[in-house]
Amino acid sequence: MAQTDPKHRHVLVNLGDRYVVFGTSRPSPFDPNEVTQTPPRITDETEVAEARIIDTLQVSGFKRREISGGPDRGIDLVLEDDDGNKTLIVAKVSSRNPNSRDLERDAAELQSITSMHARAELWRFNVEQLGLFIEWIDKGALKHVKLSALDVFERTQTGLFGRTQVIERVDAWQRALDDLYNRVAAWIATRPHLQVDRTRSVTIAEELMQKFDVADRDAPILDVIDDRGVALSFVPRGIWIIGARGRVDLISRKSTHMIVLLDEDGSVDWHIVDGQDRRKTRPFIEEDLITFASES
Amino acid sequence: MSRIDETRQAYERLSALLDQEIRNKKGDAKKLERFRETLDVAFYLLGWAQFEYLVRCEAKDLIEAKAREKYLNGLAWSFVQANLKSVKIRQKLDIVFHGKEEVKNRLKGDYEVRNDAAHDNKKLPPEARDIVTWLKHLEDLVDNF
Repeated sequence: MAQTDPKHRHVLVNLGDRYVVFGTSRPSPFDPNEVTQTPPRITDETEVAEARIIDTLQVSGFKRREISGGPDRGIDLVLEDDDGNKTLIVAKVSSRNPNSRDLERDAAELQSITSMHARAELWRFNVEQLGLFIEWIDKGALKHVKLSALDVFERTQTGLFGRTQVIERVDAWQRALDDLYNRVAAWIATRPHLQVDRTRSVTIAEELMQKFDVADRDAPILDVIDDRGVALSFVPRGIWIIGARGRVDLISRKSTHMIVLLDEDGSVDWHIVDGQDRRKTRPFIEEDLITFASES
Repeated sequence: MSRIDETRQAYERLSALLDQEIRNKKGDAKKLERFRETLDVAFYLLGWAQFEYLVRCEAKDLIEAKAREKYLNGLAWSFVQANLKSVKIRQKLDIVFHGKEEVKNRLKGDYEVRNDAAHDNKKLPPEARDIVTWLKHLEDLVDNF
């Protein structure tokens, strides 16, 4: 009967260009390498989400069955577990979590579908902040559970790309940022009139991180302080930048300078961007730091 | 100097001011950085709106010139001219940038970004986040009309 409890389910769906595995416990029973179907790429997920979900949905431990008299009752699919128990599913897609009004309406809808012969569930897919809310009626009351996105991936022409790769890229950028700050701190250490401070931070929340459900990250600001206050602030500005593997802006008293993380023949390092021609860069060196810190 | 160039200069001035607020610790850094992201989106939308206006004007001029041609060609363009309001911006991009496939495709992508930011509250993707470079690119396109 564990399969009846939605809390224990694992659900694989395609949301347009992404596959998502929803569940509450790891590991996921779905191996991304075994997902071979590559649906046509689309520009707007919200236009096709519901159709894609219904077409591609798989639930671990369940089989899909034909809907009899389904469309008139608003049923989108029927699942059958190993014991032959059927569950009628109504699927809805939204860009937000259900509110109390949604739940009231859902309860009424489920009451009209639930029968003695089959359990009915309403599945709400939040495609913006990935989540699957499964609702059902139990002893006359609406119950619900939220399944989180355990994995997100897409199959591209070059192979699999997913949350793992996004996390790796974010981690690599954070290590490079740390390296930059340590280097700056070492340069400052020889100059008694300057100090560094890393207590402030910004939030890195990029489009790809949201798409693959990678949590926002805090990235530290590095302040270089002299006797007049903050002379320089290194502010992280992004990871996915065209032509670079990350960007930090160096704000002096006079202006803002862009520093980008470049991968040149396998050697990754920070370069300063020319203020007049952004196509030109050169390695960021100690002299730059001292020049900018002296600006007034 | 076109309006787009002025918009670029306004963005540079405002983002520099916001940067100095961050450096001078005038408020929570996270909040100020979010304001900066909002500024980026606002100027992306403004830049696109100004560019779209110039594209509409250029398309109108091109269509008017074509409608004066002889025979069937001119007749066909006269029909387009009579129904100019229903010609969508993507179609006007096709007319203005005819023969420049790479430019056209990039602009159509920019238009999707504009729609996502304006209607779906989406973040700007990597290719749209350097607002200064992007506005300069639009200005160059307009200069070469």
